[in-house]
Amino acid sequence: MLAAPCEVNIGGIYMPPLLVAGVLGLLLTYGVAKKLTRLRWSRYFAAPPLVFVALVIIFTGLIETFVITG
Amino acid sequence: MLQRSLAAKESIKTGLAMSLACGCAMALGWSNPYWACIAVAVVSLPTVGETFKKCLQRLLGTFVGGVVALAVIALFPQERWACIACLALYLGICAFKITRSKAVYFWFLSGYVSLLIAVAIIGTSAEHAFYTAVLRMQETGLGILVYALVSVFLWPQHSSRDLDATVKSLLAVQAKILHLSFSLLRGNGQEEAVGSWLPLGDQLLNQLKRRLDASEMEQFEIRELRGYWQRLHGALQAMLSSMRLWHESFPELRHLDLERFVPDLAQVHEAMEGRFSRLQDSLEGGNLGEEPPLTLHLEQQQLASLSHLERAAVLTTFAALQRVEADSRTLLACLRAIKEPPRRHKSVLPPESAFPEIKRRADADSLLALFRGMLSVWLGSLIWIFVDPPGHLAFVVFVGLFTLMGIMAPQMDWRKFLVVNLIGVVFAAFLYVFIMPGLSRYAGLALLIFVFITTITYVSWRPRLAALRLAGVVPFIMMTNLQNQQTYDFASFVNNSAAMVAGILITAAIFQVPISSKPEKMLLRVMARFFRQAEGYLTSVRGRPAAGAGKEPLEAQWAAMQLSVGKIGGWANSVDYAVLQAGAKNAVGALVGSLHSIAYCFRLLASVPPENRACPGGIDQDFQAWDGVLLNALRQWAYAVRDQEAETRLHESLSQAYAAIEQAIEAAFEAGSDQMDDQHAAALYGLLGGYRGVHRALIHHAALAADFDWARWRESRF
Repeated sequence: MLAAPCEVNIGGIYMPPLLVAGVLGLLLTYGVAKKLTRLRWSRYFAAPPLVFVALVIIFTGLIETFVITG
Repeated sequence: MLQRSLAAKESIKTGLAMSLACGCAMALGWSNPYWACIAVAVVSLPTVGETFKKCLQRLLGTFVGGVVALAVIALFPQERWACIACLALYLGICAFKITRSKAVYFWFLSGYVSLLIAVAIIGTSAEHAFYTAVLRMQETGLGILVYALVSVFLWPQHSSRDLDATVKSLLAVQAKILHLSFSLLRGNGQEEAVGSWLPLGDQLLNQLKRRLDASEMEQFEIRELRGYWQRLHGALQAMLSSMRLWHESFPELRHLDLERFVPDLAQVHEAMEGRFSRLQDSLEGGNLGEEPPLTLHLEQQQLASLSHLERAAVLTTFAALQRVEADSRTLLACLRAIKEPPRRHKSVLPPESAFPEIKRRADADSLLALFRGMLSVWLGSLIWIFVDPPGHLAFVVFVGLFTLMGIMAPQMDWRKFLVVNLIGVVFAAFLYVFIMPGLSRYAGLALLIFVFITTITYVSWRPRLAALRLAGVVPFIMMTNLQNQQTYDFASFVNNSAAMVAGILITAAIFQVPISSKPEKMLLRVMARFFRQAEGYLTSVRGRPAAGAGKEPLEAQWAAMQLSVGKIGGWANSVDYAVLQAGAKNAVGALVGSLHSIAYCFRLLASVPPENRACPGGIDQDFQAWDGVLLNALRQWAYAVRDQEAETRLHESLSQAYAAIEQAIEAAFEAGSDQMDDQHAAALYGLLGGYRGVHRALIHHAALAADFDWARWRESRF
């Protein structure tokens, strides 16, 4: 049975799981993008802003599915 | 020590004004007293005049924005798409005007407030929208009034005191440029020394303009003599421009001893330095007497021994020097008119029309701003309607607000802006959760506001930290939602914070559509635009109608070229050089310098009056061929993708063409010289000098471009 995402408890404050996953996904994507730029691998992408958005969505989904579980 | 003292005083004034404004709004029973606090945060500027100017723009912008919003609501009460379309159009127009108008802050406020008032009606009533508009004006007026009173009565700083100091600094810089230029002409100086002082002159000129605008608001004596002060500013600008044009004529004199042809050069040098010394002394009470024009003689016999090209070089520099001398007399007359009773000097002053203010024409950046302004409202509204993000309607307002901020500051680093706002939100959250619930009376809140605002303002006092200051202050004021009947709702706080963060992210995405706003991409784009403008300028100069048909279009083209160079310099300062090759910053600096040089060489070419440009047949053909060579290079830089190989080939072809054209034109001038009278010959030599200058500047740019890693700059990056 799939584990359902549940609210994240930080110091008694309950956060929606998508918010936490979104923030973590954004931070992770920022780090990856910075690394790709330093290695000059970003030059192989035709539209890096769209790649950035796509990575945010992918990382958010992965974090919410595998990290934030009930 | 003095700066720190000034920072402390200004910080205390801002903190005090904000506490008082919030207290007055609460005492009067007004809703949303934090709007008064925001007004204080935004209009708090170092001097009284600058504050008054910004206050006026804020008040007018709020009024106009409110009227527009109420009009849209009245016209489309139940039609959301028409309402959104009108608001989007208005925000787009405000964004467009921000790029063109001098009253930038007025248009910013107008667009933002129209959105703020319009969303107030959603879920409420038309009366509520009207009430919100009036309340916004009241709170803004209160904030402005409180800060204005504090800034006038507590440690007032006046722009007018600095006005004379700025003029003196500018005169000192111009005197230095004059001294270095004469030293260079007489064989004692260095080329780089002159070039390093010219940008400082531009900075001081801009500073003078800002101080003059602020001083007119705060001191009646300056407002009364406004026309004379504007003439003085125009004369200083013309002086700097003439010095640049004079400097651009120097390279062609490299192998010539100018003192052989202008024997009184040393006396003129001394006399001009004396004149500038008297100009600076007049600002400290010294007298400015009448000064006759300095006589500059040309040794015609010595000149006749030169080749036509060398003669053109000498005559171009000589004409530029005469212009510098004439402009220094104009400067003297304008300063005398201010320092001494004006009635006696009206006849010798140049008319105000001699220094016209060239209106900024709309360019591609203006149209892009219009598009992005409209897109921000549409995107924000569609996301609100179909997704309903945190913050709900506040999200739409945030997207519009940040878009207008991005248009006001095109080099905005959205990542830094997001981080700084997040830090502001964290501070605000700490105060909202742990400090504010413990406050029971206004005294406690006033102390909290005073300490927090004073600290933030003091720490981020330097101009380049202005964004940090706003990002620290505004989240605290907006997120804590200060009210008379204060309630604490952390969910609402987080929702609004999330709306702000999401607004920043969406706005950052808007600035990638339809073209990337990354500094290195914008730099290349505006550089191509500069060469398109240069192409247009050259064709206008060569094909322009006879005198009397109006010179404004040429002046407007020149102003557009200068604006482009200014933008390129701005984008160059925002590039992240860590991701580029070593030495990229210096390479770009040299390129920007070469663009300045190209622009002024074109100006020198255009300075020959059109009525004197008719050429004997052979010479005219050579000039037309020269036009072809120059236009070919400009078109390649304007329209083709630039790479090192192509630039190297262009540099070689320009150098070869230069040598060939020089030989041909020398022969043409030799053949046609007996068909020309003295005046006509002088004009044609001026034209020849202008063309050589332009060609030399293009060769210099091509040499720099051949060493520039264009491919690395064009690479896709996150």
